[in-house]
Amino acid sequence: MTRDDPTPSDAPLTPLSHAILLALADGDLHGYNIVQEVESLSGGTLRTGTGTLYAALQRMAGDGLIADSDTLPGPDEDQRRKYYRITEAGRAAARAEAARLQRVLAIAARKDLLPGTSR
Amino acid sequence: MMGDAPDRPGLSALFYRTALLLLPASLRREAGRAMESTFAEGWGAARNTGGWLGGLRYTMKEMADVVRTSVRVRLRRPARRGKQHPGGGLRGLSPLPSTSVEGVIGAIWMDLRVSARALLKRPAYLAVASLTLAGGIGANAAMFAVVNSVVLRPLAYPDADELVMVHYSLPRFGFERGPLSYHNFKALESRARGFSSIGAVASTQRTLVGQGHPRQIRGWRVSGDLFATLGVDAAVGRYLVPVDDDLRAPRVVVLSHALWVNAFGGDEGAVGTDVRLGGQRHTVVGVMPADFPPLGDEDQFWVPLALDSDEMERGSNLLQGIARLADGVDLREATADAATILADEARTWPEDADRAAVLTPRHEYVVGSVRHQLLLLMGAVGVVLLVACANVAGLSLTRGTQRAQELAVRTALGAPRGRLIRLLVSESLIVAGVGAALGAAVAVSLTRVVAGWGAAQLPRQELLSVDASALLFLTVAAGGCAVLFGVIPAFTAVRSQIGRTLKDGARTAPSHRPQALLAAAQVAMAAVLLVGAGLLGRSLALLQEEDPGFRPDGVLSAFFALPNGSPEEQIGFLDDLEGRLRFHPSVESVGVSWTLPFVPGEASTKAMRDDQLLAPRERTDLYVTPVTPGFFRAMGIAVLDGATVPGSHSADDPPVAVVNQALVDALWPGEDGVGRTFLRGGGDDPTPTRVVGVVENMRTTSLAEAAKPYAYVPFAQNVWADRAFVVVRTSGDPLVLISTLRSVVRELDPTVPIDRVATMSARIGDSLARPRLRTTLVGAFALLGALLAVLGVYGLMGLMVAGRTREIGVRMALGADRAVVRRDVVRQGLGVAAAGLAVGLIAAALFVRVVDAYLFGVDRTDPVTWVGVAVLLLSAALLALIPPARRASAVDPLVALRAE
Repeated sequence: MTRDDPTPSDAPLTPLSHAILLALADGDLHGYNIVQEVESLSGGTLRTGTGTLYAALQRMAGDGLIADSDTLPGPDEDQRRKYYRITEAGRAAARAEAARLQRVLAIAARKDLLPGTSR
Repeated sequence: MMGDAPDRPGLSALFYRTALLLLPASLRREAGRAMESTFAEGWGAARNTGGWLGGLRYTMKEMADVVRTSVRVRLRRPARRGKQHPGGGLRGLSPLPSTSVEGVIGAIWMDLRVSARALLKRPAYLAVASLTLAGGIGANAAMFAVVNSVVLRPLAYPDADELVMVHYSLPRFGFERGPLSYHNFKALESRARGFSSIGAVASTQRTLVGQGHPRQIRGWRVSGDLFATLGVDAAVGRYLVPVDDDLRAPRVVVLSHALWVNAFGGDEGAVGTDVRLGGQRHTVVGVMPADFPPLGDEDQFWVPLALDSDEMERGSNLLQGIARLADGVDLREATADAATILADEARTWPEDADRAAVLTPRHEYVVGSVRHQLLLLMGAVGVVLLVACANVAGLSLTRGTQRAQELAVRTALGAPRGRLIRLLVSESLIVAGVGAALGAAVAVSLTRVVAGWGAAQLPRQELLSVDASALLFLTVAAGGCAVLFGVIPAFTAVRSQIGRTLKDGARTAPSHRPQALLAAAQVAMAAVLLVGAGLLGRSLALLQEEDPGFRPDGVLSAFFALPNGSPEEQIGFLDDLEGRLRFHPSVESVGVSWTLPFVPGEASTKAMRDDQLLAPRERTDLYVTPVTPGFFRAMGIAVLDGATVPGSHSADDPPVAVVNQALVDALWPGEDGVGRTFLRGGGDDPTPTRVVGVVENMRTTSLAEAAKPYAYVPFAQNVWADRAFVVVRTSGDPLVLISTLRSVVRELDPTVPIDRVATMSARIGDSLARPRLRTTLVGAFALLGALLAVLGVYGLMGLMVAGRTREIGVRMALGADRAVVRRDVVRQGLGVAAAGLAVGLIAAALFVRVVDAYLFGVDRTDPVTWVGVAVLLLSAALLALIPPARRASAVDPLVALRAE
């Protein structure tokens, strides 16, 4: 059941799925790159185990958010590596999630709950 | 650290790959290899920043993540499909688990509570099943603890797997691993490229005087490089080094931790002080740590080898080598290298021509003699566990049958099949868990018992304990059992019972085929165990009936060191000792001998007729011990011919000996020995020795082997003896004489230690301890297995009778005789037992080879054993069939039919 047309009404992405989409936004990556990128994007707060990562990748591929990349491991690389790419649906979902977060931010600002603004 | 190359995860990757098997196949297929690659990269990074500990931590975390993921991924699916089950009338069963870990744990907890309640409603099943498992699991864990402590755990040396024992085979004397000469050792030390270092050892014993009672202590003479080769540092002070290994060097000694604590109260000030050892002053230079693995059975001290010129002779073979393999050299290469060097040596010393270098890994050398027996026992006890599992599986199938109605109702009300399986599986887990908890208690107490029995029989038994790995083994065994006895029956029960039970209201008799198979399997496994135990038991019985060649009852023996002094003074001491002991009213006779049967330490040489001239290796093997004239009477050795008194001969007379019949048979078959002369010795100048008497053969090391040719010679003509055993025959209880013996020796010379006091019966008994231990254990396992198997048959027939009450009632109503009904039950039950027995005997025929090495006097085809096992099992099964047969014939047709 692929979601070609994700809408803002869809359930929020898990932080890990969102981070994976953000990591793949700049280009195709293999598993260990994703682990590192997710960790650095989250400022070190999101560390994922390999098992968790690949389970998430499998689920996201099933949902059509990402797909296997055409990039193959180079001759000097570990041949077991597998590269992933983000799909259009994935970009849309990431955008939708960002929009949702933006709305959250707006609400938070209204309620004076943004960081560094405490009275 | 764990054998990993620093930049490759090796072992960790293997663990990880194994853990991946937990994941659903689809995920494994899609991303398994990619996951391995990612893991390897992450491991490398963790290793770079955190060292091997970082790598280990990363591996643990990743494996935990795989386990978590494997649960999550599986739970995700049904939840995403969004189907909700109403619960299917499973009162108290948890709602479908949510995908969170807490939800899963909560659901499992709920399942367990429901199952526990169901089990507690029928406590008999819980009690019988968990006790059966506790016996099986506990015995297995105990046996594993023994195997692990003694065989599996590496020796406590750094890089212990590089250490090898170096021996020289000695086919002439039947030694597979004979000792080396000093020349051999030196050649290896200077030229062997396969070794990074090599040391040599020779066992020794000395009298320790000054620390409490004088006592005889046992230890080793070691070459200068021995400790460096082993790589274990001293706990206090230093170990022995090459400069110590010299006759002119100051005498030094290193103490074992135990001796240091016993004799010096563990005082570090002991290092640097002097002790009197073997009549000479030695300076204590160090103490080895408590966990330093002993070189032999008993290590109390180590002194430098410091060989004298006689001991350095080429014909004097008294050293064992201990070497460390050089980097990158394997055992085969090192053996070939050593063989070349020793062959070179043999060129200038033809005596060594037929010998060959033998290298044995140190670990194998220490545990090799018991490994096979322990693995045999492990196998036997493993079969017992299988029988126990089959037994509980039978019980649990029966229980499933009884609950068929309940399960069927639940299904009809909409409980998914998976939920029912979950319920049944969690019941199995509870039973296995209770069994494992009780089993742990069984294991701890059994291990203590084995440690008590095995004290002198097992190497490394000081390490024996139920440790973490034994508990892990126990857990795995319990889990395996739960699968064997629980899960498979659970699926069978759910699949087979449901539809039919509701349809026909259990009017037809349910099929008991699985139960019958299980019962037959139990009988088969019990038969295998019984055949093994029977053969071992027959061997032990025959062994115990063997005649040792002397009369051991009422004989006390003790070891003592002869006081320092001239040979005349020493002979005088022996005379005084015998005289004073003989004076005691309950003493019948007294004798002294240099060696004693069933005490290690025989000395061998060679013999030939005086009218022959043979090369040393063609001469007859001969064992020699000096004795006093009273020895034969005190031991109860029959004198066949001639005098029993070689004692009246002085050092100046021509050498004489009393010999045993075995030597006469070897040298002068069919003729008289007395008056003849033989040549004694393995060198160019053998000693002509006149035979003055012939005595009966005596077993000296084991009741299982043939008597060796022996020559008993007078002490006066053999002044080299510096220690001996005194043998006292008494009309009363020999143990009462111990204090008399001690006080007599103390009065004669307070510096003479008395040691290793034991009756001769006890010494023979000790030689049987190992066969007795293994026979007892295998026998106990076999009886346990047989008991369980018979209970299995009993349970099966009880179930059949209960399930067929109606049918039996109908038959009886139609006029069937009660005797016929009884006979039917017995015939069916015996049929199952006989089928199991037949399979078991065939399996036994295939496996019986493993006990061959321990058989004595019986063949593995011993008809008594095989027929005995068949008769025993069938009659036990017959006994177990009486109650169900009675119950069947007691069925009241009216009641049975009305019960509809």
